[in-house]
Amino acid sequence: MYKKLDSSVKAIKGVLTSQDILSFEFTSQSGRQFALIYIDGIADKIQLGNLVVKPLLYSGADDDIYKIKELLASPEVKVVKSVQAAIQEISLGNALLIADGEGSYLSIGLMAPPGRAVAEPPTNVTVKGPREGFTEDIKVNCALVRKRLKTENLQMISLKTGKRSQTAVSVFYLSGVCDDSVAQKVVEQIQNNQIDIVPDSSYVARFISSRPHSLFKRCAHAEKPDIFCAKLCEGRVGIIADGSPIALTVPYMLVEEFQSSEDYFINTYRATTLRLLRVIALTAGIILPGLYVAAQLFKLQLIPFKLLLNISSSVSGLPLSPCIEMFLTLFVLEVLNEASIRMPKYVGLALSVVGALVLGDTAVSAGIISTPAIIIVAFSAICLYVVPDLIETTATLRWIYLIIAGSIGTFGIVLFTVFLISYLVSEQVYGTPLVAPFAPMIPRDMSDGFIKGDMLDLAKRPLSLNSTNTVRYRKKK
Amino acid sequence: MKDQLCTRQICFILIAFSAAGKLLMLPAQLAYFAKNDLWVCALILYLLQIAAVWSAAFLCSKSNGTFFNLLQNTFGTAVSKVFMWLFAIFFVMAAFIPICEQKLFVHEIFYDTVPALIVFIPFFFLSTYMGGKGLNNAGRAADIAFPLFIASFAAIFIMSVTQSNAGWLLPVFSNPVKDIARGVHSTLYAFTDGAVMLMFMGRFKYKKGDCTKITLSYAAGAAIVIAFILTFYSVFSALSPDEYFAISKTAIFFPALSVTGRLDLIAVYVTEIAMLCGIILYIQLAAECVYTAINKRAGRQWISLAINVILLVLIIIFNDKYRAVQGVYGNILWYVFAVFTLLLPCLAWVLKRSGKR
Repeated sequence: MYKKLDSSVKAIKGVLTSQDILSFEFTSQSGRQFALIYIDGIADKIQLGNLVVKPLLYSGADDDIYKIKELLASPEVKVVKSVQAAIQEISLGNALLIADGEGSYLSIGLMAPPGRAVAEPPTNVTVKGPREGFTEDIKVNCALVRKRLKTENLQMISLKTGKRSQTAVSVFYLSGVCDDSVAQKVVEQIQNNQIDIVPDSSYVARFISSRPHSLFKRCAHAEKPDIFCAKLCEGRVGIIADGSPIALTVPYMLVEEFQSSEDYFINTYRATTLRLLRVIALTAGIILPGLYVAAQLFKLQLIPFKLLLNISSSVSGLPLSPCIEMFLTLFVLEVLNEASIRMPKYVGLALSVVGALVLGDTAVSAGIISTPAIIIVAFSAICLYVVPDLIETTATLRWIYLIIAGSIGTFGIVLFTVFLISYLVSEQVYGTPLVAPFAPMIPRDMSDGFIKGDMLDLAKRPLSLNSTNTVRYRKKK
Repeated sequence: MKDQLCTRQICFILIAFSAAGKLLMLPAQLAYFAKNDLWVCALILYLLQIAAVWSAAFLCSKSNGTFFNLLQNTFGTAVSKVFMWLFAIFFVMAAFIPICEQKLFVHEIFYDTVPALIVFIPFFFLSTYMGGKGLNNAGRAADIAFPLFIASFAAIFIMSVTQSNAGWLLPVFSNPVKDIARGVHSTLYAFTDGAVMLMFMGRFKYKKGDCTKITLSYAAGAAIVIAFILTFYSVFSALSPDEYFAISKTAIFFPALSVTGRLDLIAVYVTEIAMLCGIILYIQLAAECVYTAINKRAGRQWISLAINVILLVLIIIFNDKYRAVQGVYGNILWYVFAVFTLLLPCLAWVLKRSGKR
C-alpha cells in the first residue's frame, strides 16, 4: 500500500492503463488531497459529485479512512486494503476514493451503466397478465424479483463468474420451500466453472447442466419476473446473470415448455385446450415432414385415396425423390428463417417476396418441388413455433425424423420415438425426472401437466420438485 | 436394495406390454386350433397365468428380497447363479419368437413392398440401448406407453367392433376339447407373465393391497386381449386363421377409413410402441439375470449387447423359418415355458424367505 496520493494513483494507473479510466483530484475543506478513480460511462458522475465530493469539500472531519467513510452519503461504501483489490473494484465498475496519507482506499458503488428500460419481452407477449420483462441489468432484475416476493424467505446468493468478465450471477430460492441442497449444488457448479467471459445466462445454463451436450435443455428460461417468481414459489432455484434478460430456473421439467404464463390467468378449460393444442402441434411439427416422406416412399395406404390422387398429380414429373424434395424444402425454410433474423429490417420485405414468390411459387411452377411439400413444411414451421423455447431441440428432431423416415420409413419413426421415450424417462435434472409428472407418473402433479386444473385445485406444490413445504394454497375457515 | 419400480408401473407393464404382444399372431393361431372357441383357449391360458402372477405377487408380500435372494437362502449362491443363468436363457428364448413375429409384422404392415431384413436391424440398436438401462427404465417407459396403448387400442377396438358380427362365435363349446388343449399348449409360449412377475420380486416397495392391484391389472390386460380376440373372430370368422397381425387388420372395414386413409395404421404404430417395449423387457430381464449371476462384474450395456448379438444371429439364421420356429416352440418347448412361467412362480413358495414383512 502507498500512503502518498500520487504514488497510489500512479500504481493503479500503471495497471489500469486504459484511457476510459479517469481520475479526479480535489482538496477537502481541511486541506487534505483526494482522488477519485472511476470508469467513464459506468460510474454515475452526478451521484459521485453529490454524495462523495460535496460532503468532503464542505466538511473538515476527515481524520482517518473510517471518518471519511462516515462522511460519504452513499450506502455502498467499503474499505479496500490493497492495490490489487482496489484495481479489482474499479474493474467491476465501482469508483475508488484515495485519500492522501491513508493506507487504505474506499470503494464506492455508484454505477449507472447504460441499459434499457423495463419492457415487455418481444418473445413472450401476453394478452392477459403482467407485461414487465427482465432487462440486461442484474440489479434491475433482482429488484423486479424483490418487488414481487416480499418475504424474508427469499434468499439470494451473489456470485462472480467469468475469469475476465467477472459477471455477476444471483442465485435465488425460497428457504423453507425449496430444497436447499439444490441451491447449494447450483452455486457449487457455477463456482467450479472458469471461463474467460460469461456474456449470457446460456453459459451459466451449460455450467449447471449435468449433460451439456444433450439435445434437450436442462433448465427453464424465464424472461418475465412473474414467471420467475411463480417458479421460485413452486420450489425451484432461479438464476439471474448480469447482461442477460433471460433468467434460468432449475429443476427443469419438459412439461414447463407447454405451460404459458397466460394459462394461469385465463379460464381453465381454455387453458387446457391450448395446452393440448401445443402438444398436438409440436408432435405434428416434428413428425409430419418425416411421416409424409415415409408414406410416399413406403406406405401409400396412409394417405387418403383422393388426396393421394392430388399428390400424385402434383409430384408427377418431379426430378427429385420425396425425401430429397422435403430435405430441400426444409433447407430453404431454415435458410429463410436464419436470414430473416439476421438481415437488416429494411430488406425484410424483399426477403418475403423472394421467399414467397421466387422460392415458393416459381419452384412449384418450374417443377422442382411439389405443392404438398411446401404446405407440409410451412405447417410444420408454424407448429414448432407454438413452443418457441424448444425450437432448437424440435427443429433438430424434425431433421432426424426426416432422415430416418427417408431411410427406413414409418418403422424408423416408431423406433426413434421409442428411443426418445427411453432416453427422456431416464434423464433427471437435480433429482427431478425430466418428463415428470408423466414418467414416473405423479397423479397429483398431473393437474398442471397437459391438463390445467383450476387455480384453487393446485393447492399443493409439485411433488416432483421435492419441496420442503408442500402447501401452496389454503382457504381460511 | 434400491426400489427400481413402483406398483403402478408393474401394473402398467402387465396391462400394456403384456397385452400388446398378444395382439399380433396369437388370435390367428388360436383360431387355427380352436376356431370359434378361440376365446376359451385364451381364457384358460390367462387363468393359469393369473394364478402364477398372483402367486408371485403374494410372495412379494411375504418377503423383502428378490427371487435371487430367495434362491440364495435356500440353495446357496452357486445354485442360485445357475438358476439366474437358466432364467436369462429362458428370457432370451421368450424374446426370440416375438422378435420373429415383429420382423414379419414390420415387413408386412410398415411397407407396401417386402423390404430386406436390414430394415429390421435398427431394432437391435434400440434393444441394446434399452436393454442396458435396467428395470427402472422399463417402468418409466410403461408410464408413457400405457396411456398411448390404451388410447390407440380403444380407437382400433371401436373401429373393429362396429363391423363385427358376434354370431360367428356361436355355438359356444362346439369344438372338441382336444383342439382346445392343442391351442393352449401350442400358444403357451406367448404367456410368460408369471416368470416376469417373479423377476419383479424385491424390486418394488410392497404395500398392503398391492397383490390385489397387480393381479387385477393383469386380469384387466387379459380382458383387453380376450375382448380383442372375440372381436377379431367376429370380423373374420372362418378366415381368422389366415389373418396374421390381427391388430392391423380388424379395423380395416371401418367405413370412414375409405375417406380418411388407413388412419387405423397410425393407432397400430402407436400400439407398436408398447409391443417393442414389451419385447425389450425380456432383454432387460435377461440382462438383469446375467448381471446378477456374474456378480455385477460387467456393465449392463455390454450384457445387453451380447444378448442382442445372439438374437440378431438367430434372426439371420431363422430369417424365413417362422413356421418352423413356431412349431418348435408350440410342440416341444412349451414344457419349458410351463415350468418357468407356471410351475416356478408356484414352487417359489417353498423357498426360504428372509426379511419377512
